[in-house]
Amino acid sequence: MSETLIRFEHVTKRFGAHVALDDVSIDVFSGEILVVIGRSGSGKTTMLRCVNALVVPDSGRVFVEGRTVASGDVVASRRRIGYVIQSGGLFPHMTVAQNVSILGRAAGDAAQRRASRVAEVLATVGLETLESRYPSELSGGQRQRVGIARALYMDPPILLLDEPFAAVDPLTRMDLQDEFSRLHHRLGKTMVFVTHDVDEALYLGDRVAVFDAGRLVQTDAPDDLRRKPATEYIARFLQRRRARGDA
Amino acid sequence: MRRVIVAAMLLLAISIVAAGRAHSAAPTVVIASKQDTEGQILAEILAQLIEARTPYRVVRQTNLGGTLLVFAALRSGAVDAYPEYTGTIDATILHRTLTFGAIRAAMQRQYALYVSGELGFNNTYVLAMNAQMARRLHVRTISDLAAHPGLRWGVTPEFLRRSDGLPGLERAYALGAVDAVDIEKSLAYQALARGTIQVTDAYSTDGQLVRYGFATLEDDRHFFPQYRALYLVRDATLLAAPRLRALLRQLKGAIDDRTMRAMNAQVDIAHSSPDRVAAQFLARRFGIRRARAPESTAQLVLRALGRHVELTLVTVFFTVLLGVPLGLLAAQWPRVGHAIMKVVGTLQTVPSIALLALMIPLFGIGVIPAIVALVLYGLLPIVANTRAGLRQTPDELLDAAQGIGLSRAQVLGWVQFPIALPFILAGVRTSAVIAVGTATIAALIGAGGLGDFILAGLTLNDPRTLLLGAIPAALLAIFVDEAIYRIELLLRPRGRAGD
Repeated sequence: MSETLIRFEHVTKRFGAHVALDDVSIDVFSGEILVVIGRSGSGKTTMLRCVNALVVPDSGRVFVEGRTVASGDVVASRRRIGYVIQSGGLFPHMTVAQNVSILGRAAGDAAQRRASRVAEVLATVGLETLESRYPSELSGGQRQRVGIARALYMDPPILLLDEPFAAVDPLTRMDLQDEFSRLHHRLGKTMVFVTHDVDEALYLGDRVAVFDAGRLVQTDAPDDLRRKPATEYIARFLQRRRARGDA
Repeated sequence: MRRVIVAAMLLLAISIVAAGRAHSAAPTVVIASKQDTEGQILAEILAQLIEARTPYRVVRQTNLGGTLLVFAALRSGAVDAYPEYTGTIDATILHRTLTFGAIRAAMQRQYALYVSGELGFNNTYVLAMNAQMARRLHVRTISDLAAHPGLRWGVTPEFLRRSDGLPGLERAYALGAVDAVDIEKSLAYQALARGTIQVTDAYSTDGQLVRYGFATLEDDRHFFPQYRALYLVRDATLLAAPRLRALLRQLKGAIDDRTMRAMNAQVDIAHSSPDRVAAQFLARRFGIRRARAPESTAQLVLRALGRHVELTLVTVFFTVLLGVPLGLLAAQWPRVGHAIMKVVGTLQTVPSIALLALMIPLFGIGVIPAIVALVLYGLLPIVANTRAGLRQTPDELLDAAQGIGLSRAQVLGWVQFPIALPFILAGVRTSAVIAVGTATIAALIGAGGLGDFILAGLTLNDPRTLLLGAIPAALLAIFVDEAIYRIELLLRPRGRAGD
């Protein structure tokens, strides 16, 4: 594969007695979607938050674009990493346009530049003419797309997505997944995508990383994961979820 | 953020100093009194005498709340002269019983104050009872009370605590611990008349005694000290306004017990004003005719209302200026927040009189110390709501704001603060309504406002006067509440409607 954009080296993180990440090492390659999957509390979200320094590891190191995270200007480096959370994490007192362009405002972009960039990214995620709406006036799917548009505003090389489609209904979720897949092929950005939905993981991921109790137990392409689950846990995890999916 | 707070403090300090300067420049004599009728009449007599006989300008502060406040004001130079009693000087100021000559020497030495000659009357404490009940129980003297321990006493807070009040009386007459509650003077008379209480303290020159027909009990063991009236004047004032000395000499021995009681009754019972009664006295005694016509009631109420609005607005302005940054600090640093909330909460529990008394050495009397006190009282709702509002930002929004790369200041200013704004405004609204209410106590240190009418109404036991202050104050509170609520609605972010 191509070059490494994000690298975890023996990263461990504890919250009190709970070990959230246990000696995790992994490379994320430029342009891929790495889907991180596991049960709640397995460490997948903590892993994601190490990338944009919302979590600082107790030991080990995290490199983004060759530099250690949390050294230097954290705020500036976060602006090179798009961040999308469940329900979009939109600011309720701001319009769609204000939400999407907030980093432009932080960067001191002129109003005109902001407006045209907002139109661009909204078109990218398939939303037009919603600029002056407030989040409370949008559907769940629309909010999610606005969240992605906001993450794209600065055109960052990396996107972090934390269960972005968990809060929308199944049909909307499938639409969003399709669109997201197309978007990824078009934009070619490196993405780390956290989910607890096995089907979503297998469908979207170039590779899938499986977490269990803070440990990274297997990282493989979806087909390899299906064919050769590394542990009994993974096999059962895949089976059960797929059985339910087929029913 | 720190800069904002420092700036707010500086602004406050500068405005206080500036206001202080503006006051001290004028060549005026400030005549004060406590809130009692007699003190106000005596203050008016001196004030009008000065106006009639000298070119000095007179400023009146005839509603100050108690010996503590008025004496502190005199020492600080905020007040130039006020009427006082030998007994009070002994008990409250010098803490020993002295002859008149010794009082004069001690006040001169210790406080650089001039003690005028005695005005003539002795307004000492007496105990009053319902006349019928006194007859029925055969109580004629204070000694007779020892046989009736079941009686309920309602006494002024001052009497309850002063060594020359109830504690000393219980000892001198071996009464034991009497069943006493503290009660405001004018309410005590009503309570006594209705029989809710059976004994109260009164002053021998009190006009109300005549009105209710209460029996006064003889002080058969001569426990109560002499309360001979006089004026306390700053030495510095006598230097700056030397003609005062001659006027004070003219008033020496000019008012006997009977005259004083009659003047008090004029105000307390016939609802004349201290100002008019003083004028009549000066006309009778010195043939002085008053130059300026007294203002109409409507004019006075309007002026007081204007002052009240002014006090409220300035208070709210500074409370917000101080409270919002404090709330911000408290929200950002939990440990600092705890300390801030403790202090602000404690401030609210300090009795207003005590807080006002603390203000006098720092800020003198008048509008400035009143506003400082009102600001301190009004802080809690704003600080608490700002803190709570900022802390209730949903976690996922904080997470998103930080995660996408907003700086700490941007997270605060663009996300937390706007979301907290409705809470903060609700705090401002509460604080403003509190300010309207507590601004009535500002009258205690001469800041004026509607509190003047309320205090006067209470002192004179005159509901009409009381309502002249209370009704506009209540209407003002309702108006302020409604006005800020409208502003809240205007500023409420539209996006929160569906949340």
